[in-house]
Amino acid sequence: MEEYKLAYGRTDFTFSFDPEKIIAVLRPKTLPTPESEEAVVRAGHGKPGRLTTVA
Amino acid sequence: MENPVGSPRLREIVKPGETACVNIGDMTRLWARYSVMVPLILDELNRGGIPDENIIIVSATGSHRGQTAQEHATLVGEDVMRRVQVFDHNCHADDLVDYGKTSRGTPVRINSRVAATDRVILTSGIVHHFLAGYGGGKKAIMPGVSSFEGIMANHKLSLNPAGPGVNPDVYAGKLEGNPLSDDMIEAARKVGADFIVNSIVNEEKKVALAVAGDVVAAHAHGGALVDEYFGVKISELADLVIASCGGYPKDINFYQTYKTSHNMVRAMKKGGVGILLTESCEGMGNDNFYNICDNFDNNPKREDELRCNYEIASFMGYTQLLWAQENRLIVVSSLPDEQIRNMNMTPAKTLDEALALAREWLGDEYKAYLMPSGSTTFPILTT
Repeated sequence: MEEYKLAYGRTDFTFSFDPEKIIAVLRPKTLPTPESEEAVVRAGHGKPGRLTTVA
Repeated sequence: MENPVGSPRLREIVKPGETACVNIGDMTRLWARYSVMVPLILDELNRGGIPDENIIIVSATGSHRGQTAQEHATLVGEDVMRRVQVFDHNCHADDLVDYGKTSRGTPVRINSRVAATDRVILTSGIVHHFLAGYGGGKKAIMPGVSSFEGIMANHKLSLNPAGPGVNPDVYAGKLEGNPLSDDMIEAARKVGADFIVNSIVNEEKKVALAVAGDVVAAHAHGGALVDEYFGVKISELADLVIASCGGYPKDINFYQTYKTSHNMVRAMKKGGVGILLTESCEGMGNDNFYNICDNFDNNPKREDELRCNYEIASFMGYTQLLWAQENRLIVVSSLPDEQIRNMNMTPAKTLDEALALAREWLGDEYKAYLMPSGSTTFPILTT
């Protein structure tokens, strides 16, 4: 058995669970922390040069 | 904005002397960071030859309430308030402008100020959305600045047209073939939305990623980015999923827990067991969400109610009930046991109590997923 922790309100539940029964712990990736939000909006995450012209 | 998707730059689209409207969300979408995006859009319009006096901002409130001047200032910032006028949309206004109907029969009647301007720029934030596939993009037109009747007609596409239950093509992460999303896009195209600027916001509530450009292409690109960060690929479904909303304030009430429920069942075998950790210290959080479950004694009556008086929270409550009927959901919360049972779920006061119950139901042979941040973890089955 291993100990796991899950958030509940302003506290956590700690519990024991057999790790062999766990397929995976599913978590999102962490988004970047930009130095400048304005720079992010200006530059964006498009595909420069590829889609900038429409037919 | 310097690298638009599927579109020239905004300054290359507009012509000197034209008028423009920038659509923003309302206070329920404050997190999208309009105060960062809008000044940059105004500057870009200025460079394209549209001065501030030719620009207005319309808050795309959909069917939500109007806002105060202070709320407008909170949304866009004091500097923007000094540069341009900000108006609220009213979905019941007498002067909405008729753009006909979509191919699905949704009436497209739009805010008159938006309709009167030469250029329409849409802003919002992109997240997974249980109806539209992803929030942002075209939603700033439908429902954002549409009539109440149009919004209801569009949202009713979430119900299965061929029988009971939810439309199987309407769910988070689905754009292509999602009739509700397609209907929104038709409305945005009819109105002639010229350009979008959409943010993707991180845990610190800062703009971490952004897309700009065509209302469909740029939004789809943003959706792919949202999948990349919030999507988690899984190769099998589990017998048991234990999901926490992520603690306070994400589990402030059960209404907010809906996102975690939605994500949890995506990782669960049909008929599986789910344990939801949601303190819900402020209770249910929405009367309609609960009443659609409690006020009717069967699903046909609930669907009749939805088809006659569609309301998003009611739809959410109904789908929550359907998940509870199709699976076995245990809720660890501070909610009254009776409320949990009335939504076809099983209450538990501690996680240990819930786990004991799950083991009793499942026996020894089961596989599980843990989801510590259930509200922002979007399982994507890859097989």
